[in-house]
Amino acid sequence: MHYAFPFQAFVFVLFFIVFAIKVPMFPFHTWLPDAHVEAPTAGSIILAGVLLKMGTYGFLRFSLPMFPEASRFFSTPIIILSVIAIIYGAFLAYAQDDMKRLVAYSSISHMGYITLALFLFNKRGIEGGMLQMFNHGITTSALFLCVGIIYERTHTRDLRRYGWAAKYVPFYAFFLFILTLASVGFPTTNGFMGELLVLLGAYENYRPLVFFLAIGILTGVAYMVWMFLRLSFVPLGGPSGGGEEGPRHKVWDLNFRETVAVLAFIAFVFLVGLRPAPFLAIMNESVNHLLSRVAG
Amino acid sequence: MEDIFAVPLFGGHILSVITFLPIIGAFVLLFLKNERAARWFALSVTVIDFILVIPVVCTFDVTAHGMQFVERYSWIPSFNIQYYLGVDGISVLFVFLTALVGWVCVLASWTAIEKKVREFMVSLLVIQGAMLGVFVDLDFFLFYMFWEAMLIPMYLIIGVWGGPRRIYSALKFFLYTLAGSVLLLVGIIAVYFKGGGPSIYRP
Repeated sequence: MHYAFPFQAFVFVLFFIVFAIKVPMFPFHTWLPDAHVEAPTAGSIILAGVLLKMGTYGFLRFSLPMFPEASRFFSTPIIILSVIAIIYGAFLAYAQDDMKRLVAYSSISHMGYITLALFLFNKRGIEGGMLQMFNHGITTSALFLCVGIIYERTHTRDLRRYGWAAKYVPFYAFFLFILTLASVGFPTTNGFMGELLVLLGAYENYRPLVFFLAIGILTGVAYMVWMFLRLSFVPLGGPSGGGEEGPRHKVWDLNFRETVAVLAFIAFVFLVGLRPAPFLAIMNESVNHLLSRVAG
Repeated sequence: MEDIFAVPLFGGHILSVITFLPIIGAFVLLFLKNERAARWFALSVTVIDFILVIPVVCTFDVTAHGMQFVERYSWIPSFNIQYYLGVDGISVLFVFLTALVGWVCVLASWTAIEKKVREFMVSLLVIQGAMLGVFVDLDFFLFYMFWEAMLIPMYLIIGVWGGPRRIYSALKFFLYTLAGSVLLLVGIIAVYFKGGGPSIYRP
């Protein structure tokens, strides 16, 4: 069934607002940090792991195949909004002291890569975007899980009051380190494969985009590594810390239940990072089919 | 390996089983009084659901682009509404992700949730089923139902078990997503009346 362009454009815009709220894309993102900060850990994991993917899944299931001409017509503004989300989200994340708020803003930035990738209309872009959807579900869920685990012990998420996690809770700090690398897209982790495909797709489509993506990636490294350092090692300002006295004391490390939960995610960090072929193969034919309809 | 799965899983109803197992589990959980039992029950349901998803991913035919594990029945014929489930290469990974996140969420709230444990686990199971439903459903009507069904448990999870400003955040989440849902309904009705069938999958 092929719809006329005015109808396509009208319904595309309706669906776009629905999915953009869900993703969330700039400028519909303001509900996300509040929801994450107040939600219990499981709520944050569901929100970041699956609910945000509903938006991008909607683009893949509704917008691209049903309204291909409207998708092409609106692709430039959507890519611009995605670039704003990537850079603005990354800088907002960099400014946060609340761990959950930091990871929430990093989600906005990372979801920006995905929406950008889906509207590149080339194979690397869409496959990279879908792989990043899966990766983001794994990595960000695991990060929220880690934030929840430490919050349960200290009852604060204020990074200014942390330090020395690597000394007192070494296993926790080790797992958080792996997840930090996955989040910034370090080679051998899942984030690398996804971001690489998105970058290749962007380069293929419109070269200057790579520049903006690079700003997002570099800022991403900055805020994630800084969060890890502030949590795990000497806080800035010396051993006594710049901030007020806080729970910089010994807390118990991960128990069996928490280790199983974190390892379930970390397994996929390396599975996708070291052997992405099966994950790409599973989506390959459907993406080809989708592209044959969108490319027109 | 191939022979084990040669027989259609659950007589070809594997996606229905995966989707409705958490929802049925949530109803059963309503009758459990013990908090400890509620945790173990929710964990069992989500782990079984995860185990059931594994054969779907493993036997997924990567050489085909169409829908697989399809279940298609007429439901409300006068409005052309169907019960139509299936997964393709776009949705199958997210079905897997949802099932994985499900049991990890139960583990993550094992000790973190102290009050109203049973009600919390019921919310988790309902949202689990609804999320799976969104990814496997291919009919406009049922898709919209599952999409809406995700909203309420999430609102409760934030609003009842959240932090100090939970009411504000839950309401903000609810209003944003409700606005989205209304537009989704308008869009679905527009496409439905324009023709092209009631399915959200257009091969």
